[in-house]
Amino acid sequence: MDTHTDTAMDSAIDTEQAILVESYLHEVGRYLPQAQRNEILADLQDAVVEEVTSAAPEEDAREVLRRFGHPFRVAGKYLPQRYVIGPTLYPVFMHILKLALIVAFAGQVLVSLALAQMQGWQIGPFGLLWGTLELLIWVFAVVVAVFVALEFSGEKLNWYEDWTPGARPSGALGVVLPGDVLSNLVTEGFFLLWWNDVVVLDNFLPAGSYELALTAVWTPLYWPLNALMGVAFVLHLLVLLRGVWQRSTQLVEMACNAAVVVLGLYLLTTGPLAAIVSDGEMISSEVTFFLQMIVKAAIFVVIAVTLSDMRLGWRVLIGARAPDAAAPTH
Amino acid sequence: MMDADAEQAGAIADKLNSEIRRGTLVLAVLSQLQQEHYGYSLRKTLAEAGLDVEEGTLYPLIRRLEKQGLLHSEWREEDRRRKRFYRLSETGAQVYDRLLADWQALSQHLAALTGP
Repeated sequence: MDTHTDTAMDSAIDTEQAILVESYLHEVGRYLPQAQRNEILADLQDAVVEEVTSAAPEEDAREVLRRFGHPFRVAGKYLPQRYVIGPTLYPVFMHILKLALIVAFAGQVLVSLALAQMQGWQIGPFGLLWGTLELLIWVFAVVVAVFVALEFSGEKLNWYEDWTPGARPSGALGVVLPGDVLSNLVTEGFFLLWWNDVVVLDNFLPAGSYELALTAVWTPLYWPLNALMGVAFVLHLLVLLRGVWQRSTQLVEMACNAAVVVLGLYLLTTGPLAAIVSDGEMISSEVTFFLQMIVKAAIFVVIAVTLSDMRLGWRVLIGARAPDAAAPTH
Repeated sequence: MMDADAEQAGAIADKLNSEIRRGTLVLAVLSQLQQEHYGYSLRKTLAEAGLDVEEGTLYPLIRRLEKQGLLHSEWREEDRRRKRFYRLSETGAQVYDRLLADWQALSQHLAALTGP
């Protein structure tokens, strides 16, 4: 603040008021960028002094400053309004962010599987969760940085003005419920990592050297389960990226669900599925029996839920043909 | 329940009202600066016309309008005090005429829509 304006303030108002105004200006200045601070504060000082000297005798400087508003608010009004990511870009930003996070997660699963196959790489569950979280945070940071740069460049996405309304993708049945499909994708991704020994879970049980292990019944299912979960994983990734269920994807979903039901029924009719072993030997038959009951009950629940999903999926497929069947004939 | 609805309606109306006022404030300020004013006298004139403007809103607005070239300002001494007087520039006068015409057209459309 230059000497000229300080002198002008000093001569217009008394010392106590001058101290109050100076303190107020200092506070406002804290929220202003350095390049513009002196200029804005000089203008503001002129305004404040004018109001203080013109105010009614019963009004003191504090009342005038209170009417000007909190320093933070006043500083904001002197600066051009700025969005970090404005309303024009925000919907696009959210859409791209969701896609980027989904693709990043899917990419991590595929890269982990590849590393496990090529180099025998393994990781614990907490390491996997932390690594996933770290990757997603980086993706978030990059996407935000790109869109902040777009916002500050003044990009208004005017090229969207050339938009031509078009039909939905052929065979479109309905909009995707992202929560459902995303949870499927995450479950399938983690299953694939666990099934292929990329993620090593600590199967050790407390109070002793006991371990929960799958029996040999699962051995012939290694590749079928890989194929089933792999197809389901790619399917749900595609559906999430497209944002719509189509007849073809719904049919693949139904086929995957049917395969889950068949596998589930096979597992229900076979021998022991899991065992608690100690030093390589199964422990008491009673504990093993209860364990089988729990595992088979869980499989039964999976079959029931899958059949319910298949019923809903079938109704969606049938419902897609209903309008044609119901079309009036003239 | 009705009190809650009325309260909610009041809050929404206040928010929308402030958006309307924000949009019309520039026109109000430009209209008065066809004559010379300093900041305090401008605020008082607007208040007497029913448009109460906070100091923290008016002075940044005046600064922005001057930066845009719509106003001229000069320091003069009056009543043994230095004051900064503002007045519309030539560009400001053209912008004001255009805004006024747009506002009058909009008012007529609104009057037709909202009826007697």
